[in-house]
Amino acid sequence: MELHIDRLSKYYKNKIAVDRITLTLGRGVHGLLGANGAGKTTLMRMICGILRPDSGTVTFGRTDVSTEEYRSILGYLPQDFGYYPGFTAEDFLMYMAALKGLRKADARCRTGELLSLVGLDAHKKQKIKTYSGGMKQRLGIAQALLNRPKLLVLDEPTAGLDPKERVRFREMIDRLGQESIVLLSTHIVSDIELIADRILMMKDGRLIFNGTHDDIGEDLEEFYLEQFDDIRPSDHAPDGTVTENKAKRGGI
Amino acid sequence: MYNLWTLIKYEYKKLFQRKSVWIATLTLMALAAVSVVLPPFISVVSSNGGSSYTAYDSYQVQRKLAADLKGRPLDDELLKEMSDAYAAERESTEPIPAFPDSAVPYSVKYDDIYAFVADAYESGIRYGAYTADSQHTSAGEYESPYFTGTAAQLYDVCRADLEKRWEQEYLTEEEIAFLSAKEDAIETPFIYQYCGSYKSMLALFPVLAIMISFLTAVCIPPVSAEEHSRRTDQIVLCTKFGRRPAFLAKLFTAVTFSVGAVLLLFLSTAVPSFVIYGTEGIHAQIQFASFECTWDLTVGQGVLIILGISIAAAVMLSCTGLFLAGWFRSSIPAMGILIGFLLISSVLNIPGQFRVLSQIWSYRPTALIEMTGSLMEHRLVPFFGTYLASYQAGPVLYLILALLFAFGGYFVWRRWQAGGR
Repeated sequence: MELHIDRLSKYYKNKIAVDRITLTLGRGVHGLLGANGAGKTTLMRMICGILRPDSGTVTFGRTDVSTEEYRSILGYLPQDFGYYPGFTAEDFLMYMAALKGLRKADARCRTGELLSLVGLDAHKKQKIKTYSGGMKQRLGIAQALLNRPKLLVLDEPTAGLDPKERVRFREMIDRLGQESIVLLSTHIVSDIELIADRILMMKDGRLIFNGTHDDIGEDLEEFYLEQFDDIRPSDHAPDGTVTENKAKRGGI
Repeated sequence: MYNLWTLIKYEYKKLFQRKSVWIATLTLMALAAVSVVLPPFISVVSSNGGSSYTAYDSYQVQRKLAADLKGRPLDDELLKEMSDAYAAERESTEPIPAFPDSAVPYSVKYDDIYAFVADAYESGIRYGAYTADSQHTSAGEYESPYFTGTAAQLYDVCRADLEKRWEQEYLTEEEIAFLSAKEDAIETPFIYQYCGSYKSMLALFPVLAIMISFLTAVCIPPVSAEEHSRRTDQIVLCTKFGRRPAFLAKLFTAVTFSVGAVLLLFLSTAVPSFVIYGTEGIHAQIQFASFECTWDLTVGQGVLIILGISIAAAVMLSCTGLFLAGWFRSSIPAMGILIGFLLISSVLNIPGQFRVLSQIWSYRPTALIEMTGSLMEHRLVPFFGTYLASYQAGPVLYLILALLFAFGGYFVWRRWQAGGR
């Protein structure tokens, strides 16, 4: 069970959003760090098949990103997404479950489980328009988990969650990472410090670091800031990776 | 398969959660019903006895009296009866004998015959198929009830009028021969039967055409555009059934809603029409609604044909709305285009001299969803050695366009990209 990303690139007019990223992700939690505009969301959208790359491929095993089979193992929580305000949480999850191919009985059962998991069980009959930002975010997380995804892509999932919810969310992701590939993007280092098995860092569309906590060997936040202070475009090798001396420990 | 019915259920739920859908549908249904109910009650006629009665009273009496005429041929005898009844009413200085408990004169029994003769004469004079003489009043109206000719002369006038129209419509000789054969196949004398409700429905189809176009423009584009405006597109399109099945559910919802809306609007005119004018007369010859109809049809068939055209047009318009909303990723430009087209198609006419352009333009929904544009349109479409009339070619054209727009809509939906946000 591996996700292969091969020389994936995306350009917007004269800006390179994602620049020849090659990556293989296995089971576990992969934290993707990067400043705003680093290309995290663009990379995730291409992994989810809702943004066509200018070059490169994304495959899960042998399954291409454009296929229904690929989408059936995918769970995605976008950074910025909406709801149907007139739907209740239950309606919304039942609808998403139908889109994800769950049978009605399974969908009902799974919807109940997930609403409990994200702490919305008591509010399942309330219309989403009455929800707070944090409740909406939790509902978004629940929809991403409906089909028990083998590949879970979470773009800034902790935005809007309070500290208590954040802790609960981390525990949940930690558990999911034991069975699935979880790719979680954030620019808040503490979100992934404790749960990510592997850390990925992006800057200016390039992957500047791909390693484990052991490779870092120091405080992640300090390491993160260090990377972003030091790396300049001239330090990139022609294949898109970062030269050894600049990537410091671990890395590409 | 594909959880299609569940997806459709939720698409309908989304659709009916929009207030605009309820407001537009219910308002138009009420307007359609009012357009049938109101006129008979607001038009008041005064008899020469000084008392007055509404058109509704007149229709009720006509229904009762005209039952005697059911099945009678429109021949010399019936023409004479009609002329005598009207002449007696006009020339009498005494109050006219009225139907019991009303002020409605007995001559209303012949109102349909009067209308038929007046229509043929007015048209005949307009198209030069008949030369008016003493029947022509100073006010420029044609006093057809005083027609003293024979029924055969009346049918000749109708035929001559049609032939004049064919000339003016730039029909080819083959088309004229085809239409002549159709006209010959219609047996004369026409057999009379009261059919007030069907005539009312046929007369109201132009109103329905505008309502259908408007309702589709307001309700359908959001079915697709909502996903973009609410930013739910990303999570929908990366699900297993987020591409083809999700689009099929939207398409099915859009099409069935439009068809349902047509039926509801039609019922909003049909039910009050049946209440006011009665249900009788479904088998009456369509020529009693208009003698210019060259097809051997009954009024019931005529109503069903135009209802069928309305349904086909609604299917086409809903697919167009879905396509445009997907293309622009917003419902506002799609609504603008559909309503703009409705306005233009209501006012713009292409002269018959530009035969091809004019004929193509005559297939627009606001023209085809009415008796004049569908059952009284004589320009034909060649089809494998024979000809199709407008009412036959129009729905086929609509369904082809619907398919094209549906495929276009699917193509746009499937290729949607999340970039640029």
